[in-house]
Amino acid sequence: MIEGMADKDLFEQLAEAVTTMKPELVAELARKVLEQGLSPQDAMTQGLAAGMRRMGEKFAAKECFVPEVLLASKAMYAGFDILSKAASYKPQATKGKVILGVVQGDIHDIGKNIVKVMVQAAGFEVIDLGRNVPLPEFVKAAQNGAAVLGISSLMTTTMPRMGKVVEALDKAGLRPGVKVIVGGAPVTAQFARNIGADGFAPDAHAAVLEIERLTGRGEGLGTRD
Amino acid sequence: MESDRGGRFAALLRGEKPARPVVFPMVVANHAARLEGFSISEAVTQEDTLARVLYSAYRFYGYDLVMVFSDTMVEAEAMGAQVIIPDDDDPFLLDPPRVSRLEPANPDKDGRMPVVLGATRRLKALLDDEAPVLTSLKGPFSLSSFLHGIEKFLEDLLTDPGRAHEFLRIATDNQLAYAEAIVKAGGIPFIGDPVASGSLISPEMFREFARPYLEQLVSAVHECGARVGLHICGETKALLADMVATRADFLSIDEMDMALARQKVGENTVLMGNVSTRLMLEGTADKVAAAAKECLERGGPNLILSTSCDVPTDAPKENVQALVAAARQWGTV
Repeated sequence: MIEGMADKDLFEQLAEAVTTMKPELVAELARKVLEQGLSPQDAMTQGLAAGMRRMGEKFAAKECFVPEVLLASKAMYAGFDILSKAASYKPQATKGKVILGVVQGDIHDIGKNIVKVMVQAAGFEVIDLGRNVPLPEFVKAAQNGAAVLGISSLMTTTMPRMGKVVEALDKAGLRPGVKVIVGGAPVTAQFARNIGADGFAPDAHAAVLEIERLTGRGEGLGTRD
Repeated sequence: MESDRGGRFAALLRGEKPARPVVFPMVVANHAARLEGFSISEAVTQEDTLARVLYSAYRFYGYDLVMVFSDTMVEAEAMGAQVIIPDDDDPFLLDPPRVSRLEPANPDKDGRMPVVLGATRRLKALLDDEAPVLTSLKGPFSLSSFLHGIEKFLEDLLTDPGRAHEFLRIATDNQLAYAEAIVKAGGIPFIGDPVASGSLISPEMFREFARPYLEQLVSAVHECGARVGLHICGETKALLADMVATRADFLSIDEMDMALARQKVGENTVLMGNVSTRLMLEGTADKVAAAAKECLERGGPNLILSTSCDVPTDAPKENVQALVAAARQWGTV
């Protein structure tokens, strides 16, 4: 019981070091996790990912902004690098494969990058196609067993291309096997419905919840398998 | 043809109330090129084509201002950033400049700044006082983020504010020279600062890293004896008071309740906006007309009826026409 409490303390400290954007402290705590023989996977979900999730909630509530989220993700990766290289690290079965990309002509990818961190932190495998992604690349990527395809656009000029991606996936016979979720500043739930997307998220935190809903993997973070 | 367009715009900025609302849906290079059968790359690289498509769009729609805006990357490119210009799409930033020492560009020589300035001169000559020519330039905050890489720049705000301010000073020097060249070419500088957005940064960050440099730019333009506008993309509710404090002569605002914007800036600030660009792209002409009317009711009379950001390349022309017609009919029905 007392040992369990100690784990929790260390994981909680990890989460806090992520939300306070301290990569060195996260690294130090991650090494401590390994020294104490604790599970790297648990430290990831209950420490690093929990911290990122809190960051997502704060961002959605406008308690912090993009610079803080970027630095928190850096801190998270500082811990992830150490924990994932440990001999005792046994990667958990992922909750599924998620493809992310920003449509062609659009180079605004901060939002997508933040979504990527949050979705990874929630236990999904992420294939990042980057920004300015041509339509055929979305289709090609979706053919490799992805559960969800997340497309974003930050500009009204490139928004219609998200609809084109959905059409192309339909044509290739990839739906409803692959669920499509759309996001980006100008995107609304109405727009998502109009182009036939399965889901919509106004921010990174909502994206995680929506992807969990679409994949039926919504058991949430911090719970032990 | 109305001949008092320029007069009404000037009157509005002087604090008088024009008989009819000034209207300008933000038609820029991409939409105008498509309308006139040119590719976007032709319009953003050739000063004669840029001037021609903007002039033709102005004649076709019959709005009250012209805006010389090719794309957001003009200044960053002139300062050494790698920009891709697709055949028929908006140019975009590939990489920040790979130089050890950034320096302000020469507006008459570097990159496509001469294209923008040349198009401004041509339009000024064509329109003279018939309609004011606005010429777009970037705010120092956005330009800095393109020069350093957006994510790196945003991280620097917290981890290395000194370096962020260094970028901002160089970007500001560049924009001071560019703004002066715009005024000399006959343009009214219209500052767009898409990255200094409340969607990305906090009001405190805006106050420390964006506002002081905008103030510098605005007062430099005022010293040249010209007016200046300011547009910030995305969320601006929490930034409006600071936007007013830059002393820009008119503020263009992205999607938000116009009544709330009016309440926040007070009666005397000239606002520009803000029919949704989404609606321009996807809505019907009737819906655009209704939105325009609502905008005038809530934000007027100190209002330039416009769109929330630039009119999308493929927005149906009926929608742009509906917005212009709404201003013409205002008060008559």
